[in-house]
Amino acid sequence: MPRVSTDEQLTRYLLGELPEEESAALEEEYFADDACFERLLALDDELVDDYVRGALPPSWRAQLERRLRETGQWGRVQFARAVSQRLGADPQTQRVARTRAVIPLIRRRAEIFVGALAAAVLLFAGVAGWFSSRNAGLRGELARAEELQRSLEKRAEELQRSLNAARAEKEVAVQQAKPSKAARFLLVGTVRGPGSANRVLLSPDFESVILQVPGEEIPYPIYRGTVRTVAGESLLQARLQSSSSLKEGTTLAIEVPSRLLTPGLYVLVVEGRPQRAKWEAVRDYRFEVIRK
Amino acid sequence: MARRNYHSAEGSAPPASDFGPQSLARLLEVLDPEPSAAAAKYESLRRKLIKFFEWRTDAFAEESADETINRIGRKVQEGEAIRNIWSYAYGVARLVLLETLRRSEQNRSALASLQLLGDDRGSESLAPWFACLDECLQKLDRDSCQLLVAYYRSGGQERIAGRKAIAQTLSLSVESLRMRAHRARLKLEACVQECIGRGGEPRVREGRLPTL
Repeated sequence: MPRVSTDEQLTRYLLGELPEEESAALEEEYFADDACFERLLALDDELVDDYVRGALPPSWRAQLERRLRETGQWGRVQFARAVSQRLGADPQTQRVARTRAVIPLIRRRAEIFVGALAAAVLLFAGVAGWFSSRNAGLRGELARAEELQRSLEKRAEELQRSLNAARAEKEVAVQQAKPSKAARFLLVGTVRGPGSANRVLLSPDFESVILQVPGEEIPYPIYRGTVRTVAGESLLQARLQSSSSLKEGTTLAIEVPSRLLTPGLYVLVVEGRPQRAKWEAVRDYRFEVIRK
Repeated sequence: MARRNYHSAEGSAPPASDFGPQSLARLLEVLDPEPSAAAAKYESLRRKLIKFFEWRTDAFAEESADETINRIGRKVQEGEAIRNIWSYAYGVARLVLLETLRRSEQNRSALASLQLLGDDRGSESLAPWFACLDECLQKLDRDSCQLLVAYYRSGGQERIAGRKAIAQTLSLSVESLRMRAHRARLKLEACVQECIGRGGEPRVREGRLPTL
């Protein structure tokens, strides 16, 4: 009797969190069962969708991102971003989706019918009546699509408000419940001179280091950070994530795998990019890594 | 990122070209005596293998899948009796994976660093993706397009309730709806990736279409 895995098991497998024995059983299952394999594919797509919506918990997000990058599937993320923004539930993009996806489609179909009708009218005058009703049907379809659109927009707004609050609470709970394997350090000011760099004290338990810097008074839409050795060798470059808290105000953060940081002096180079412009240097933060 | 056939590069296994027509023919026979069904099963097997290696974070999933098929083909050619080809394929795939992981462990740190460094694709413009998506939505069959529009319209915070409502409207279970949406999305994604592959230039421009 073949086993049937649950969505939760499949999701944990896709994130590499299922124990090896269960993973092997699931793999046997999907090699033998096309339906199970298709479920996995569909769930994998949904994970990517959740990733681009920022709806995954941080640890899942990191797992999925690592897999997609290491297996050369970043194009799937770009595709999901495009789909989410064109067809997704964001109210600002719904109008775009409607005009660019639904209406052109319906219009195009109507145009095909119009063209067909023009030819047919020359031969059969009676077809005009059929076209008229068909065209009216298409217009009715358009009206129904718009009506559906409006009702979904309204419902999305209501649900979004309540779910935003629940999501924020859950996020806090998850963060508090899970022991972090990342060490967090706030780098302050532009510190000059080898003796006065920020100190980053690392123990072997930490898999990664989250370097935080204060947010800028005049913010850029996006930031990136580059970790360099003092000799100028770049180790890592990634987007800086912005966050706000009552205690620390707005901060920008970058996560660096601990293995990249051997004891020594480093510089975190922060750059910001205005809309449709090139990256601009914002500030450099020197820090010294000390291993316990 | 350009991919390399690391199996053959390291000399630990024969290159993909060693899998000759006779081995392929024998493997197809084992998959199914009927040729068109055998071809479909071959494609299914390869797809499952690629996904297996991707889900196990093998950076060279396609090469590993081909290596697995090569080994199965050679065993079939040698006359090995295979009772269940799917189970057998999975067993061979696990061996290939273990070898790959051992081989790539030493390079993993360097590879990860290289991929992180200069990976700025988060800010890559989506403009060509939008252009291709618009083109492909118009090419997609009407049912698939409407399903995707409705499915992703409820893809935000209200996803569960929205999709239940769609499933009820279509008299489907939520699971069946998900599979239908997945198949429609596969068609759309294949079209969009093909469009992006030719430089993101859509063949049909929206502005040229006459209006109603």
